[in-house]
Amino acid sequence: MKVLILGMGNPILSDDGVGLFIARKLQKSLPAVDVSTTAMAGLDILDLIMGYDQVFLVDASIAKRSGPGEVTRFGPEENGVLHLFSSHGLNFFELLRFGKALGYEMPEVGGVYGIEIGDEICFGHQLTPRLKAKAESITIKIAGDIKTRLAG
Amino acid sequence: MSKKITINPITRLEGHGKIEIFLDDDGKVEDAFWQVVELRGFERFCLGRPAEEMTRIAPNICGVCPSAHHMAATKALDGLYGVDPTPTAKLIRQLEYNAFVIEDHYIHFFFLAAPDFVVGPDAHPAARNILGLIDKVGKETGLKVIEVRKRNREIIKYIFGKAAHPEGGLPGGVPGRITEEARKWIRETADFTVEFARFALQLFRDTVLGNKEYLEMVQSEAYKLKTYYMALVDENKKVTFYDGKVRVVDPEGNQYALFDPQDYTEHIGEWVEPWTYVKLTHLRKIGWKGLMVGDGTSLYRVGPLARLNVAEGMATPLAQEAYEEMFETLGGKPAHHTLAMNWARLICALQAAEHNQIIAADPFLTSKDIRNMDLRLRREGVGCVEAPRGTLFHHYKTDRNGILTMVNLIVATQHNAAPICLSVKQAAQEFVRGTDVKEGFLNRVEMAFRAYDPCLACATHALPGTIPFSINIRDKEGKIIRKL
Repeated sequence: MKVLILGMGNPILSDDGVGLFIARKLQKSLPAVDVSTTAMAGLDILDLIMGYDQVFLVDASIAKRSGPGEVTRFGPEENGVLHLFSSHGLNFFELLRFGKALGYEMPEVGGVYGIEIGDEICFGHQLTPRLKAKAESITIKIAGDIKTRLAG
Repeated sequence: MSKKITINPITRLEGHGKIEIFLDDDGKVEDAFWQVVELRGFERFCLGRPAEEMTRIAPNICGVCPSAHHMAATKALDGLYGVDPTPTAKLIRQLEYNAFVIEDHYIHFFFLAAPDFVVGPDAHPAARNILGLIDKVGKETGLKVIEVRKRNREIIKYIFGKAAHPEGGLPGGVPGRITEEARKWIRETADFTVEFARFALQLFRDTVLGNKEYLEMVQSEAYKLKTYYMALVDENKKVTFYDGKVRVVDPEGNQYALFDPQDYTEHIGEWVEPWTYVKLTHLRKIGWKGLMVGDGTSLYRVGPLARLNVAEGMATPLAQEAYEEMFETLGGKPAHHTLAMNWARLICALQAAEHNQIIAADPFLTSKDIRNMDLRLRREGVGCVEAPRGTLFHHYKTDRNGILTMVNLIVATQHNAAPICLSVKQAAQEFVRGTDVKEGFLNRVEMAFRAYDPCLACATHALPGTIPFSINIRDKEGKIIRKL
């Protein structure tokens, strides 16, 4: 089974890039799994995930359900797009349905992990110290969950 | 009791933009604002870096139009180093840039604009999307969209290494040459794209122009805004994307200004209002007159419709035919019809496709003369392109070592920010009465907004990959009395 972990985020927006940072660390924990990173969204994701059997996404989140560094696993029920107003707004789960509607083999979504970041987003190549300090525990948590799901 | 309707895109970076519609005591729309909480600090982030890094950093500003920032940055470096790219380098850059315009315009049209017309403005929002569109017109159309995007991305990737975030921009040239072998598939892609462009225009004719109700909507006063228009034009005052002079026409269509991009600060003023972080641009010589259109306004619009209003025609024959058809249908130039942006977008994409056919046949395309190395640091450069959403300026200054000391960007959505407010207000005044607003009517307000395809937080994306709208109707105290 071909499995992809896709880290998402912007490499010049500090904590927004936490998904990229964690995805690269996950490669060490899960060497048999492909890891890729992207700063793009929408249709670009389709290009990256096609050809895989299962995909796990790792991204920053401001869900405000928890404190910075906390990990939330999102599911298809999070699909809330009703009022699309910009081509920024192509929804991930909708994209999967779009791919299927066109007859493409689309991967199963193993999990979408949102890593809570603070409201204050600033430009920078590095994570803020408070998030960087939690990177190890975040990686362990997500890696553990992925391993469990792959084993199941 | 006064009411407030909030159309709020809840992004991952919550509060990045929302539309506030204020109702008076009689339930009529009193005012509307598009508020943006912008990411600030990009310019500061760039300072102290070698200017050459900008072609790598700038594409990351925007997850939607990285090629536009990449090309503007590359051209700013041309100016900074006082170097003119070789003719072949210019051809290759235009080839790549046209491919990007094509890709971007079709994503907007098929994913955002077409569902409103093909599925219908009153359709349930859950069906009014690309999936609903496929249901109506068949999956072959979806496959064509994917194919045209894929093929044009191959061009971007071939020239600048990466399709999504090109990074290879160099002052005076391009990083690699085009081989004769590559010319073959580039020509095939251009031919395929022209055919697709004609198909897309026909789809627009069939679904919009062929539907009396939709055509009336496009021509409705609810979607007309009398502003100035700004865009790049070539030496014949025709539409261009990569290079040219900036032309401005007044609300009657007369030329108001024609200037070199490097003189933009003489013509474009930036105004700060307390309710938005976007600096609102206006025509500097007229001065800031507030959020008003018509006589005395200093507001202008950019983007596909502006390009066609500003230019004296299209640069390619099929696009010219489509241009004439559009203005004939809309009653002449300039067309102030906000929803006609969707039509103009298809005409621009057709020109880009036709232009790539011409470039693919140009004998100089495969020349090895792809870089002018006569670099002499001038310490200041301005790069300007027609980004898909409108005119984009990058302006850099450096010290004598080429280290950045000043960076200023004016992006398309900034030019359009004030007109977007007015377009939303105009549509809301037509379709919103009190808080008991039908979904289809609110969608008609959103259509005015969507036509601009504004970039909000360019550098961000949402989890789980979405920027949804929620629409709240509140009473005077801010309590939600209806949620859509």
